[in-house]
This record gives sequence, structure tokens and C-alpha cells, in this order.
Amino acid sequence: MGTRSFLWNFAKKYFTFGLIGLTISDRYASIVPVRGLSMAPTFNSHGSTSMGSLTDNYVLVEKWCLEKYKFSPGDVVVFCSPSDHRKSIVKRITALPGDWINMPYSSDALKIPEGHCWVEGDNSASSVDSRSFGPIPLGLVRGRVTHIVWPPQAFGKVERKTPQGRLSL
Amino acid sequence: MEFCYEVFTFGLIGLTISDRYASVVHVQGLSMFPSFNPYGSTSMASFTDDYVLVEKWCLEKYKFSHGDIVVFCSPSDHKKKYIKRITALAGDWISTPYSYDSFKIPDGHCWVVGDNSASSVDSRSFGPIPLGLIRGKVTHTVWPPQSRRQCFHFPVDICQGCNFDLINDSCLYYVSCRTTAAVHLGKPKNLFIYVAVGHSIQISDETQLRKSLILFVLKFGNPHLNASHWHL
Repeated sequence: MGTRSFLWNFAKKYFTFGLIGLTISDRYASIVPVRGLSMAPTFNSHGSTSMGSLTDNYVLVEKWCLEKYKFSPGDVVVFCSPSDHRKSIVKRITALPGDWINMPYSSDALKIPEGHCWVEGDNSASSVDSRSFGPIPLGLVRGRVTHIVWPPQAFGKVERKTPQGRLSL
Repeated sequence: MEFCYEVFTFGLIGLTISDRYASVVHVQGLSMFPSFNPYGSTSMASFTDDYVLVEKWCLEKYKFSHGDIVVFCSPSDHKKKYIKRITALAGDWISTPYSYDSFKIPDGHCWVVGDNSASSVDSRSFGPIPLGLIRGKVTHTVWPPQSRRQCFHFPVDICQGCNFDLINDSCLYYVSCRTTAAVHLGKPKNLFIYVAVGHSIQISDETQLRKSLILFVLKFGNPHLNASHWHL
């Protein structure tokens, strides 16, 4: 009898902590791995294989920003890919609604429509981003990356870097 | 102390369920008339508006079908949420209204249209939306209780294909359509009259007709549903 009530209490506490963890992960902050080299050297500067490895960077993604929806240019964000909603992509915001962007390889300039933003990978040579799929609606953004938490030698804050030369004034 | 703990746990369970599985959402406006808010909607009388159950299991599997009613973030203002019906998925061809062009829905996108086409801001204005913007699928109306209705999930054809002629012949009105259509007869019973391709129906009450010229274009997979089963 004593053992059963002990197990029951243990199960209840375990369940509650699991629920707290789930709620925090859904609503406030979670840790995700970054795969690929499109954000080198900010992430995965030591290389990355397609199968994933322990040396891939794991980053802290905070979701408070979704409540207030205040993004700044230079923020690194996680968003659903517009061509495949099951995939999440990590890129940096380079322009917000109303900004003008210089189109690469042409002399056109594009105005970012209301409610959209322009995202680019830091490693422009090897990044599928807004230069391929155009500006993305802000509703696709799932969180903002604030820190790298793994591996320990890469631990640190992710800085907001305003890109040079992309914005057309 | 025990009581606080129980309240906290139940609150957390409620929050998790609401975030991940199902929640109840208030429908404003008439863009989905008469599926929702068939008695009109004003900004003040929100207790007569429809409240619907939105399920989020669909987001895990990401399986959407034609005719699903979904809640999604507006692509032009991510703080606003809209409720509309999916009428086309990735790979389908859409003919643009008011022109002869057609274009293909890109991968990972869908086309959403309000049932009340005359008064709906939807994909005809802002184009196909990425599926990542969808926040849940509507399954039931939970309020007002006297008209608890299940949402129709028939595959929906694009409304532009429908053409209807009204011939005023004394007191009789004929409505015929190029594709199978449902004509809503309005209050008090939310009666629908289904008209199959090539058929026409007679409506003898002019008032009824005037009140409700909202046409749904539905293509029935179910062979039992044809015009002969429905009578005025």
C-alpha cells in the first residue's frame, strides 16, 4: 500500500514536470539542432554532415518574440519553409516590411510587402533563402535564436548582425 | 497547498490541450456565411456569433484536404487570424477570376476562399498561402447550442465555374448551374437545395431567393446526394 501510493505520487510529479517542460518548450524556449552550412561561420563553422553529428551546433530558440512580434533586422530566426511546411529553416532576417532590397544579379529593387520579411543565410554561397523563395510571411516564424548551447567550445550569444550592402535606401 | 497544486496541474493540462490539440475560437464577420454566423455578425453582439472547435492534430500529420475549413495567420498581418475554406492544394491549377489565365499552386501552398465570395478577403486577394501559416482545422460549431452543426467537408470546386440564370416567370424562379451547386434558403432552418449538373430547380418564394443568393459549389462524391432527393 505504501509502495503504491509512493509510485502514484512519483508518477504524478513526473507527469507534471513533463507537462511543464512541454509547455515551456512550446511557448517560451526550446533547443534545436542546426544542420547544414548555410549559416557558417555563425553556426557549424566546423562543418556538418547530412546525417547530423554531435558537433552540430544546438541553439536556444526563444518564443517570447512571437507574443509581441517584434523582429529587428539582423535577428536569426527559425521558420517553416514556404515550400515544405514540415521543414524548419534557420536564417537571418535582413529586411522587414516596407524596406527595399537590392535583387542579386540584377539592378531591380524589391519592396518587402506588409507582414513579410527577407531572410538570408550568412553563407551566401551555400544557402537556399529568400533569394530563391522570395519574402516570407512573418506568420511562418517559429522563434528567434539567442544562444548557441552546444558544443561547449561554441557556447555564446548569437549577435544581431546588420547585413551590409543588401538594403537599398 | 494540495489544492493549489491540483489547480496548477489542471491549468497546465488545459493550456497544453489548447495549444497542441484543440481549442475554441470565435468567428467574426460574414466571409463564411452561411457556414458560420448565418444570422449575421455585428461587432457588439459577439454572444450570438459562432464559436467553433479548432483541432490541431492535423498539424502533426499535415494532411489537409479540399473543403477543409482552416484557421491561419494572415500573410499580410501576422497578428490577424482568418478562417476560410481550402479549395485547392499544391499542384492544382486555379483559374484566376476575371481573366483567362490559370496558374499552378506551388509546393507547400494552398488556396483558401471564404464561402461568401462577395464579402471575403482571401486567396483571390493575397494569393496562395504557405501551409506553414495554418494554425488548425475547424471541425464543429460549439455555440450557439441550438444550431450545433458539423462542418461540411465535401470537396469544393472553384466558384468561378458556376453560372446561374434567373428567369422571372411569374412567380417561378429557375436556378441552374454548370456544376453541382447548393443554394442556401436561409432562416430558420438553414435549408440547402442541391442542384445537380444539368438540372434546375424551381423556387416559388421570391423573398426566400432574395435573402439567400449565396451559392456553394460542391461536387458530391456520395452518389446518394443528388437533386431528386431534395424537394421544396
